[in-house]
Amino acid sequence: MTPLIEAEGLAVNFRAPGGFLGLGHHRLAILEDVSVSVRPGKTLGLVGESGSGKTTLARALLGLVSRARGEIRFEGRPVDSFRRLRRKTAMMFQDPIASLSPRLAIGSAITEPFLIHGVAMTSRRAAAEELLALVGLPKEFASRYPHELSGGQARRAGVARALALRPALVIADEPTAGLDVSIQGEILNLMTRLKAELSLSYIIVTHNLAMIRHVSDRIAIMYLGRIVEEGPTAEVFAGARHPYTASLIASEPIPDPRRRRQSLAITGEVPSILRRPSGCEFHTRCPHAQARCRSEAPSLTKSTGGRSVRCHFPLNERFPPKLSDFGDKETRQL
Amino acid sequence: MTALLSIRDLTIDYAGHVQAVRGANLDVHLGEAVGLVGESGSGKSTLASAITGLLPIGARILGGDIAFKNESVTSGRKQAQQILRGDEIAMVFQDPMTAFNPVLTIGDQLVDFQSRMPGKAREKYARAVAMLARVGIPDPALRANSYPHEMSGGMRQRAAIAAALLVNPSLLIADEPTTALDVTMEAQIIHLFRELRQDYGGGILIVTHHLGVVAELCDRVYVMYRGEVVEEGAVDDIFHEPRHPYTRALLACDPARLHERAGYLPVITDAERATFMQARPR
Repeated sequence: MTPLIEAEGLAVNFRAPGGFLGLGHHRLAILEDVSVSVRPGKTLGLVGESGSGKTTLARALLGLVSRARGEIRFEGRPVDSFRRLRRKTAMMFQDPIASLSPRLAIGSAITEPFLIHGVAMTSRRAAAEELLALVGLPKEFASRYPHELSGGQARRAGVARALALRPALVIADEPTAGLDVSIQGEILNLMTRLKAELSLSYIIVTHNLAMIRHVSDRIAIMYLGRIVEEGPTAEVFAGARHPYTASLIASEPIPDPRRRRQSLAITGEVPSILRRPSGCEFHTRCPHAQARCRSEAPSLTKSTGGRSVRCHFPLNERFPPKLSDFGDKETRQL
Repeated sequence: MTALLSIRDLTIDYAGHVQAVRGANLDVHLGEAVGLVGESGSGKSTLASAITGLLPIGARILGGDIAFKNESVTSGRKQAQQILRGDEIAMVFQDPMTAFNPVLTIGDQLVDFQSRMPGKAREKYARAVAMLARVGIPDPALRANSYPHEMSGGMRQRAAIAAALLVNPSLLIADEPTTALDVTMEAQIIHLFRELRQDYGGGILIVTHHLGVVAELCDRVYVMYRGEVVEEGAVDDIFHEPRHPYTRALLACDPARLHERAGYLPVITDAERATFMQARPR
């Protein structure tokens, strides 16, 4: 089956700080050699810490930031102009209240895509009410303003706006950030239901591992602008192959006082993108780093089970992953 | 054992109509870490700000009492409250960026935090640098010279914890101390709190909506729902034998507690919510 959207060897540069009057500045690699794909009806989770490039990747896929290298294909055809994608893709931005205009009532905000793209609707009021019903908001919300909404209601409005033109692909940037767990569940359940009803595909950008584990089919773990591990979600969680993935999973606080972690899975901070480490960029924090890791950069290598990993010495490779490996640093094997 | 902090039947309202906190009781003893959990709007932050006398304008304490070391805080003069806030009670906030003044170096600010303590400026600076080292900031002498924006979020939160501990408070209140951080930083801050507990003998009150943080750090837990403390108990009992239906529902909808992959995640329905207020723990 052709992937709905596919990127190959994607690279994005930003201008580095410094220089004088725009002279003498250099380019800073934000994304390097990123390849991802999403099949129709599936959900891809992009996971990483702040500064890992996950939001930049999501934006680059829709042409909201321009790429330096690489190819993007949508429905199998290379994308030259992103205009072709505009009606078939939608983005749910991180801060739902800030991403809605404070001067537009919700009804106007969610039906704006119709006007922008010149799509006919019976009446603006009817279109707004239909969209509100779709996301489970009462129709009175059409005349409310963003500041009158709670976090969860604003997310629903964001979903309604994203789905106005019935896109094929929705990219959701941190759809649950700042929400209470029960509201988080409501938003994700809404997205899951609509995915089935409207045959959508999702790319969910998040740092919330507990959540993405339940809602994605595949996940890609990013570190300093590169994908370090990619594969089917359940298998990655059952046996992470990249030490960074393993440390991320082991860092999640466990809501069970009987399973308190005694040691830290990962120390130090993400290095600055201005000073990328040599060799494997994770070697400065990797508990298993060896001499080779400091000098030679590993490439993203396909391994068994439709998984890829960017590591010289991947974990859990020789043994079939056990469920007991999940989140337990001590039992995983080299 | 007498409590360090003792809150009895505290009721707080906003602008005369919304009761943000209703009849809340809460104790913190020396050497104990207490978690205060609830969803947004549960009143947990209002309760925490009442302890330090930092209630927003429009909020009033309608009834009840807050006692610190057996002395009432609520009936005291404003100045007494300020002294208490500087010497005895310190706070760590969610956003470590706004906790510091952007135009002063971290070191200078850590000296200012000690304004009510004895000693020369030079000694205070040395104490500040030592405290930065204590909270795990590498090159503390160099970092003391940095401005807040030059530090990462995790570093700033460490510096904020250093600032709070400098006055050697008997009570440390941390309001969502890890919410703004990445998961690896969150784990490191949790680890730091645990380490600090070994030589810090005071009480810690952690206000959060994150059940994982409570399970990792706290000895006792208070659960708030719509302004009321609905359940209180030892951390193990709360997580393994919750008695109030709200506590059970809250635990059930944390995706981190689901072992099997779920197509639809558990939520708290409005029908369930309607029953929580009548419910009393069995």
